[in-house]
Amino acid sequence: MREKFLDLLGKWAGERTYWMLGIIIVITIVTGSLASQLKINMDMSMLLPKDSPMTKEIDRIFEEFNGANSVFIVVQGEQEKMIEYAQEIAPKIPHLESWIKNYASEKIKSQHKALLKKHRAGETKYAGQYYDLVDYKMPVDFLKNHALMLQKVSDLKNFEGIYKDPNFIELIRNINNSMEKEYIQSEEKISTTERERSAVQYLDGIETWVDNVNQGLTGKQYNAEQAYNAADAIAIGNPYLTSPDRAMLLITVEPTFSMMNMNCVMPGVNALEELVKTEAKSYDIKAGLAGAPVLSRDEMVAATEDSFALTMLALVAVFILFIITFRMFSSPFLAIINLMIGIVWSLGISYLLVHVLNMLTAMCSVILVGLGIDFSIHIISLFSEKINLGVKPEKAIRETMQKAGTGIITGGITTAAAFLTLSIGRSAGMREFGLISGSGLLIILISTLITLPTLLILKERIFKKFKKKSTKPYDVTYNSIGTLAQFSFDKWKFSLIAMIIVTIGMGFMITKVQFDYNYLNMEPKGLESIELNNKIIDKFNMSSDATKMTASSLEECYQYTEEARDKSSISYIESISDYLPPREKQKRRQAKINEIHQTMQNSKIRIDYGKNDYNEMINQLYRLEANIIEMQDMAFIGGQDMVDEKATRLVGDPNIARSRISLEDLIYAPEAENANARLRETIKMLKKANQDIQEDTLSSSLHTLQDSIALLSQNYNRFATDLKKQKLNKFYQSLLEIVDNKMLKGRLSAFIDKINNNPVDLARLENFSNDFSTKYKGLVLNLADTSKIQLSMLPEKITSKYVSNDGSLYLLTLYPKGNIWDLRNLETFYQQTNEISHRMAGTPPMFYYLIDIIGKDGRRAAILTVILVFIFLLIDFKSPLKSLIAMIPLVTGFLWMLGLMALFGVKLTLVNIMGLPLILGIGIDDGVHILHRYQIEGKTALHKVYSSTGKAVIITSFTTMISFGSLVFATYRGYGSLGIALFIGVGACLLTTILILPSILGLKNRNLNEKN
Amino acid sequence: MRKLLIISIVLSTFLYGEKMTGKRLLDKAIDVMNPEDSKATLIQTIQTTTGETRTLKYESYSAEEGKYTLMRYQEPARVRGNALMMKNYANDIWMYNRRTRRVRKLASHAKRQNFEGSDFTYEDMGTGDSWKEDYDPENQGKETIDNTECYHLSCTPKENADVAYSKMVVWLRTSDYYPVLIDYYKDGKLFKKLLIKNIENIEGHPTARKMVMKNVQENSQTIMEYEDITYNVDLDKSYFTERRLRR
Repeated sequence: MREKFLDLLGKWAGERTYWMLGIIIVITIVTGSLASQLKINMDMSMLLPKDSPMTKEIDRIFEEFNGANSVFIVVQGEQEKMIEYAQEIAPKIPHLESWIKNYASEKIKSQHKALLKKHRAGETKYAGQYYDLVDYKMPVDFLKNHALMLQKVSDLKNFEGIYKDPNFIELIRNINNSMEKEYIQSEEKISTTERERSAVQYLDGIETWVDNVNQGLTGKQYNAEQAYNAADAIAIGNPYLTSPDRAMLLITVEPTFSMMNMNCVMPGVNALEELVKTEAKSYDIKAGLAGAPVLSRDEMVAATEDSFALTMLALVAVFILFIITFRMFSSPFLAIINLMIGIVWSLGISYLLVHVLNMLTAMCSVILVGLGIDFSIHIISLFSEKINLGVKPEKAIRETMQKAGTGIITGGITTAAAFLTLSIGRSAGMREFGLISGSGLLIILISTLITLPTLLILKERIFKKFKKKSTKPYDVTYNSIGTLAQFSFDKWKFSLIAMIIVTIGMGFMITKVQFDYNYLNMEPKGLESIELNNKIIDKFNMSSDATKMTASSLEECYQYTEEARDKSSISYIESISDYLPPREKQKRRQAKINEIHQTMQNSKIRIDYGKNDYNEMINQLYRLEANIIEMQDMAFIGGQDMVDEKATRLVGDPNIARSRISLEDLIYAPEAENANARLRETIKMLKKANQDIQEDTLSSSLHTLQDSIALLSQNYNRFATDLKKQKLNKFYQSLLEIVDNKMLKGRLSAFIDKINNNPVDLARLENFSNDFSTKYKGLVLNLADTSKIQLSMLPEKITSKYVSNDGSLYLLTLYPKGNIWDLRNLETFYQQTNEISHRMAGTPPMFYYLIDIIGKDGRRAAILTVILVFIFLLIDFKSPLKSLIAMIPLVTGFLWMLGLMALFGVKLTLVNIMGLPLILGIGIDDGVHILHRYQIEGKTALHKVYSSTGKAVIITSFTTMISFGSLVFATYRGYGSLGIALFIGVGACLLTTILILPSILGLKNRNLNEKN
Repeated sequence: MRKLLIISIVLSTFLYGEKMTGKRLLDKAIDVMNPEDSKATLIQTIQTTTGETRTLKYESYSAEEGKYTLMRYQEPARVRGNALMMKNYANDIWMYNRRTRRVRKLASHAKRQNFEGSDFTYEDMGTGDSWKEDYDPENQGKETIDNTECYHLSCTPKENADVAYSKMVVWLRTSDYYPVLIDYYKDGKLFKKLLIKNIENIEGHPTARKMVMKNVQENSQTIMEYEDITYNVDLDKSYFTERRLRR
């Protein structure tokens, strides 16, 4: 049946060549037009099972909250400029369309027009605007009236001192009392991320307060605004989402489009990026985008470029290898044309099967190049041989089809079947990958059987017409391979032992294979969105990739929020409960707030300040400095880096301060036992402090001092005590000069020094204090509003962010702590969020879920592939022993592949883990071809088998390896990891076929060997 | 036959009469864990909130079986000289900061809190024999932990005891009653695990060179290792003064 069909195809190619050509052209045009409609979507959710609860939750959150994934505008520069920029840009974002119309580049305009056109044609959804909510500031007006109702009773008790007395000096004293109560005596207050963040916010308020007090008391001209701002800073704090070092501001933007709607993602993200960058120029700051939709855009651009460029690269590489090996041009050219036609057909069919390619299927065409070319190699090889023997083309093609066709069909079906086993996977990614690559390979097999014979006949006719002789095929028989195989066969004991030792070694190496759980390592290098995401992690200790969760009632929302606050892996929680505390809690707070209100109401504002008051102010400022220093050291010992960093802005670099103490101690005890070690420590601390200094002169002064101390340390024991003292004193003085630099000093310490050196005029202090106290009193009276907050009182900006359109659901956004793409963080975050509720969505849980199901899919597919391959071999060889022998190179090749990966430091990744079952399908071919030929040629012809068929096996393996290897050049590094794994896998199976199979055959035929 | 029965009863009383009660086991464990006095250098490794690993070194002095403890930081240099003093089994805690030269007393509830941001609480560090007063121990029999035969001791808080944990399960080596593993429970759930490793006999006292406190709920851990330790250093409560704290 198979032979008859193949003969018929050969006959038609020879006799009805032009009809066949016509049919091929028509099919190519039809499938080409289908293929052109294929889309690529790199969103991770495309890989999830369609019925997964997470997929449903993503859809629900998108429907109910108008978007589920935020875009972050990351602004870097001076604080004032960043705030001005945010104020300018924020109102423009919801009206991005009009900005596009008037100011955007032509590229953006045309992308937007294309979207509108598709939308009008009903091809895509578009809400009429790309973004709706923009957030960069706390709702200050709301907070000014309700802030105290949002604080816990315990916090109200600890901080009540701050709200007791509006007078300036008394307030500093009360701040100190509260600080000592809240933070210094109870360090656990800063020991969780949530508490650490609130401590940072508190210090941030003090920083703004210090800046305004400094301006108000020591600035050139007094302006009441400075006193008012100082009052705002203590009452409300810094309302902007700035980093502790105030070098970064975040603006969150909520898209109205789903991340899966690539028609909107591309123009929406591109337009916002252009707006953000254009406006940034006029403010002399840097701005860029981060967040899942931006990454999705970047991935799509990379994948689209990669998909075409790498397919072309693979084709060219295979073509060159073909020419080098066969020393022919026309036939390889036809093979490449045939392959391109096959890929067009398979992409057309792919469109019918899936419509959209995901991050795994986008690279199928490269894989198909590597595998599909093998069919052509076998046909061309045999056809050229026949032509060379003088057989007429029409007869030659029929004979070729009959002889080579059956092997091709068996090999093709086995590999395709192995791919198709992936279709049993639960994850859509794995399933579609199996479907597209398996069906694609079958389509290329069919297209090769139809197209290549026709093209070869056409070539012969054209050559005949122009009286050109077909190139004689270059004899590429690999004698050395034959000799090597014969040696292994004859000395089977020796080679078998050697190979067992190598395999055991490889097996040992497998234990060292690492899994790269950092998903960002799959992404293209140098992406701004990833770089900014890393900066957000650095500055805010949170990842921009959040998890969203829905609660069905306010009570549930409160419960989830409380539970989330206790989870160590969660850095930051956003929910309605930030603005609408539970009723009973509000009730409990009312009494305390009422008390605060009464006390403040009865307080009197002082008008006169005397010398003693001034001294008391200085004392309290020193006390404040000491409190912050202690908080800073406690944070350092406890590992709360953000508090340490924030405190440094107020009280200076601790390494410099501690170096000063070290030198001071040594001056008093220059002969101390550990003096030299202390000097070396001092150098270390100075170096550490110098790392963060941007100013060149200051940095070079510190360098000089470090070098001088290093020199002293080297010769320390040689000096007399007096000389030691003298030198230490000199360095101490130099350090004091350096420390005096305002860049090294904290803002609070610098302010204290300033008013110590130039005392403030008492009249000015009175003016400032008066304005401050009046404003502060009014603010606190407002803050201490005892009326209960109700949902209807919340600003629309808050309700639309946290409450669903129909009011039935409440949204929580949980930002993970640190780098979520580190498995330890991801695993803990997933488990802890899962403990709160299963109703969650977002990139981190999705990724974790994917790792889990893809791992299971991979294992299942691998087992099924092995079974299937064995069944095919059993049908083919009709002998279980022969089938097992054919599988030995595959199994050992698989082990070698993993061992070699460990040896070369290639890690397993989420993408290349799929290469493992693929190798089982691809790697089997080598052994099958050799055994087939061995069966035909007989037991004594192993040299011939390996010299001839071994050649084909090597060439087909090389073309496959080259094609897979071209993935290394992919911008999307996930493909690179897949390419390397497959390259090593195919290479390993080739090696085991050449090195192990002959010795196994030698073992099987040991009687023959013994006779010889 | 009757004679045989009597003999076997007498024998079994003789053999099993010595069965350790939970209370006795706990007494023995506390004795072995809290030598009279000691001086040590410890290395503490923690993970900072930004994911870095930070190593701190401090010297520790202890007297009256852990009733008094003083710890002074040696490294990193930026906190050298900062010190902490615990009296009355961590019921009274003082801190000294070298940069501000101030001594501050921590709030009374601080003993339940994490010691310097680690996974140990002050209470874990300076428990002394307060376990005896606060917990009812029960011997659950023998078990093998890491190839070591151990007593399995379950400690539940006494009524009205002011303790941090809802239960503690301690595994003590049968050979010397030294603990090898402690599970801490909060609200009935496993909260922390203390893995006691590299137990050596130093100057006649079994001493764990390494202790790993794993917070299973927060997936964090703190490692504490003894760089050196000496016992019988003649320390008494008079050593633990504010002046010494400031030194």
